[in-house]
Amino acid sequence: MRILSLVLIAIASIALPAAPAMAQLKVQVVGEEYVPMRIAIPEFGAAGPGAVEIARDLGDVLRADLSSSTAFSLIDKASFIERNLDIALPPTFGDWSVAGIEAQALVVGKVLVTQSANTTSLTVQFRLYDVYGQSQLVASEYTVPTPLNWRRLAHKVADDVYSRLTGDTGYFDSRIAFVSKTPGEEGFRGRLAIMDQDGANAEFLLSGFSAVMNPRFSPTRQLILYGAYVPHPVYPQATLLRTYLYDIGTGRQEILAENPGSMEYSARFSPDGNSIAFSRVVNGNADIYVIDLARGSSSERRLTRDSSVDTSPSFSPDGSKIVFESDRGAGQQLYIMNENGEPMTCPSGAREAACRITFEDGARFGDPVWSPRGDWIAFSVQRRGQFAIGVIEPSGRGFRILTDGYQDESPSWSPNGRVIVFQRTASKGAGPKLYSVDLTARNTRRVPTPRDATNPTWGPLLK
Amino acid sequence: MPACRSTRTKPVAFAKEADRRGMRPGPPPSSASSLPAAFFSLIAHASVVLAGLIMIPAATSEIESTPMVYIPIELVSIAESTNVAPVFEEAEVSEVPVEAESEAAPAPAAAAATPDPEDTVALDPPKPEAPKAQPKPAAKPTPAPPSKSLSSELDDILASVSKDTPAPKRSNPNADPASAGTGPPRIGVGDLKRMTASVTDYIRAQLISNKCWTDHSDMADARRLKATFRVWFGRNGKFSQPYQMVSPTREPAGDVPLMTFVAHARRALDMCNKIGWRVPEDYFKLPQPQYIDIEFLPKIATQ
Repeated sequence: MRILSLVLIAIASIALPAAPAMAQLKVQVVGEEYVPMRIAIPEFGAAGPGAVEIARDLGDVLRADLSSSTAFSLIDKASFIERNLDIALPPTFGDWSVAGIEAQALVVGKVLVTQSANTTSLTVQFRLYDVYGQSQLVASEYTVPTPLNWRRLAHKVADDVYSRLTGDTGYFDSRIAFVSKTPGEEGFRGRLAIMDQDGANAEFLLSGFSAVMNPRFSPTRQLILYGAYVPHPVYPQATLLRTYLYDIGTGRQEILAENPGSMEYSARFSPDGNSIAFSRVVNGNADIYVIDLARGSSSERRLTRDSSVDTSPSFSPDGSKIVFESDRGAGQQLYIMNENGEPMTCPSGAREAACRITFEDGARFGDPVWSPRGDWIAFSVQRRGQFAIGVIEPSGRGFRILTDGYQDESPSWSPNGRVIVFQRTASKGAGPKLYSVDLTARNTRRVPTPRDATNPTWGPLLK
Repeated sequence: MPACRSTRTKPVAFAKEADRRGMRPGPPPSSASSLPAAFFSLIAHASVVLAGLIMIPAATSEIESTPMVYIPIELVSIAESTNVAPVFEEAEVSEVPVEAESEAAPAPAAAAATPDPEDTVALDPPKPEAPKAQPKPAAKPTPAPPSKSLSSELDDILASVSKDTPAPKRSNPNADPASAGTGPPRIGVGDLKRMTASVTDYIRAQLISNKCWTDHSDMADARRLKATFRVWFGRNGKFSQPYQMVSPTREPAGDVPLMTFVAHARRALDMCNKIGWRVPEDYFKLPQPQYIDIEFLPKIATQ
């Protein structure tokens, strides 16, 4: 035994000091602070009649798109060393990484206007470079049959740049529908309107004013659901809430729901755009239903059977779950349930019809909207005397307030799930405006609208 | 008989107790027949105690990172330039050691043959220091202090790292580093850990404070995003060879968020490499291979 001990000690005496010599150096680096990526966009080259003006305007829209996102910080053109870049030649990377410029990404482009017998086409070529990596990341070209579409081309280029540098799909080539309000108008009266996500090209979708509420864009097509109060067919003094399906492309609309004995509202599309979830109030009790648009009312399914008010359903991106607001527990809180109505296992381990995900006493949560990415649920919340916009993970973790104002409400996600557009009333008596905020609570900015605006809904990327 | 019984009972009881404690004494001295065994046992126990005296300090030094007995003498050679002297401070300055290194490169080959790395935690001999000191002794006495223009954050870290480093003996600051010791510098167990920590802290601090690596928590599915790159530093403050992606093991072409995250990590390395790394001297004293695996994470992944 003693000999064995001696042998072990001898082995240990050799092994112990030698062990650390094999230690590997490993550094774990956690990003402490968010810093936008520095991007340089010099003037695009131009060739053809009118190309110089288009190149200038297109560049301005491209810069405005990228600088409006939290992801990028635009570098002042005045500081550029290398100018008049030729898209056919690689840039001098050293000129873009020097102190004072320190561009991480560089966009070089060219606009070509080509005239043939009867047509004038517009082509945009661009290259995206990684300055420090000294490599080309993207080289692409778009052509449209008319120069009038230069603005969309700018958005397309912005989406490509954004997508390549952030890993998310872009959102610049998309539109926002909303209810346009004339200052002084009361109640729900307003006009359904639509505009580019940057506020350009605003136009009304419906002629004349009506009591429009809760427009919801289809996530897959240029369709909008909305509710409108119309005169009751039996009692002309009263009104009835109708749900319409409006086709932006054709201007046609159809009535989805109109029931004298009930009221359907708060309808929202499923992720595939083929069905909708909505609330129906019968005898003062609101429950959630789902209906397949193709099969009509025969496919209707009731998902909640509770004596409380269950409303504002929103599908998860995979369509398997629905988040909604309900006052079934303590106050108005957010819950998640299975799309098929089956009980589910909650984080507490209990099997219940729906799992509660918000728990702030005294707060009233509403307008839940599941992110297209699936990782967050946006909501509005009334707390401490104010209305705020916040997000929470579907698991109930990560609760955070993004904006806090006198009255912030009606959040809607950008197609990539990174930005939220919402309605803000800055103070009592002020008109409602549209604002956007990044998922990280940075970059709250006004979305310009011709008039006051409410109920924004962000549409899918255009095709 | 009772007295006799009592005298025999006590040693037996003591022996049993001693057995339990593992330190059983020798047999009673009255037993003449067991004298050789007692002598042998004494020798054996003495060996055990001696081995213990040698081993326990070594083991303790590893756990508590206390300086080992032979460190002060061996570290004298480091006194000239301190363990954390920034090699790269300004672009113009960095060119000098590069030239010195390249010109003197053949010379240290002979010196490299002298150390015997087998029985110690051997270091590469500090090649650039010896040749640098010999041909240009006049330049040595004025070691440049850290530039005032460098970021205060980095300087703070530098100061803290320097503070952690045991102060080298300055009894003979002008001594030729090459002649300070007869053999290669040795690193004690605790010192290796301390040096490793100082190097990694320093590299991490540069990636953060230079804003080469920033937070990407807002990327889709950010909690799972992670990328590791292997880097090698040269004395000129640049990578001495192209970095390698360790994790993921290949380009995540079908995974756009991860692909973008990896691109961000690459950009961070390129950016800091463009700025220039301030590599602690400790890095070049570490055992081969002198590379560092840098794991990039978004903040949300650690929450």
